Amino acid sequence: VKGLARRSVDCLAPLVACAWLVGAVSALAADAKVDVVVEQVHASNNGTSVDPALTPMKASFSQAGLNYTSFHRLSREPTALEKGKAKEVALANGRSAKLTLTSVQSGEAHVAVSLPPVETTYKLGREGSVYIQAGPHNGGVLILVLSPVQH
Amino acid sequence: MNPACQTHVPKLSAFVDGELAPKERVAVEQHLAACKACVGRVADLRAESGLVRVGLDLLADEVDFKDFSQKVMARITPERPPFWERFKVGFAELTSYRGPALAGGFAVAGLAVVLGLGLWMRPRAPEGYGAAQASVESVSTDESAHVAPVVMKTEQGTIIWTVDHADNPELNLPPDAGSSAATARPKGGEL
Repeated sequence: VKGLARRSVDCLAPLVACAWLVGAVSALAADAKVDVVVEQVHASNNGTSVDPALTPMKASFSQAGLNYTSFHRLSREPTALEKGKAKEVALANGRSAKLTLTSVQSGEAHVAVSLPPVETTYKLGREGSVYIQAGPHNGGVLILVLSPVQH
Repeated sequence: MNPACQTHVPKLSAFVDGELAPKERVAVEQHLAACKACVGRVADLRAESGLVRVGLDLLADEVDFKDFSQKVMARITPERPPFWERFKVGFAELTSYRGPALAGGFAVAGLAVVLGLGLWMRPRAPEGYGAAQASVESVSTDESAHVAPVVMKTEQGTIIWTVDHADNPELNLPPDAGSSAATARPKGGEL
């Protein structure tokens, strides 16, 4: 019985090693995932209130000549994007945007943003956001903000 | 017993068993051709040998040879000692004969572990964030929508705005839109 058990272990060990190898390779080959933070911001010239966290955004818009006086965050949601799978984001003004992780090459992820009629692709970075005009909303404009996750 | 017999009689047993050298065997055969007494001795030896063989066969038939080979193999290869005992013996032999090589191996392995831990614990960018700065790669619009994209780079990021394609793009920007935005505007509908 001991000999049989020993032979069984001898036979099973390579099988377990192969299974582990296959699992590891499968994990590496699995679809890549990246996390982004999706925000919806309402900018308008009605009033002068600005969410404290949006002060840098207001400064950026002012720098670009878009001098809105009021910035309010409507939503903020970390979102996981899977390669090739479109993630639909319902916007506050009834429209919707689709985010798709198109590729991850050399650790750099490329994301396509479809917000008709505008199609955008951008490369994720540890710093910097992408602000996309998402149409009118409540007397102002809705802005889709894509930011890196904070680690 | 004649002198010739005294020479050959001690060799008869070996002759019967086929253990003589060719020259001795020929000499014994020549002697047997001329000596009836030695022929009788050879016949006695052969009969004795046959009786012994038959006796041994009878004894062998009485013995139970079931599991004989397994018992023999069991005596040749005794029970395998436990793993820990084998490990201790093996390690003792290793340290006795390959001490310096073993010490070197442990030193290299320790160094590899330290380096691996260092690499593993270093701050790493999250998946997909290999680039330091986010950057817009392309912007396009549906031509039927009659809008054009405007890309403005700022310190905090990139702003993508749309303006009416048919009219002067400046008219669709807020009244306070400054010149810094205009400098970054693309000429076409796609970057």
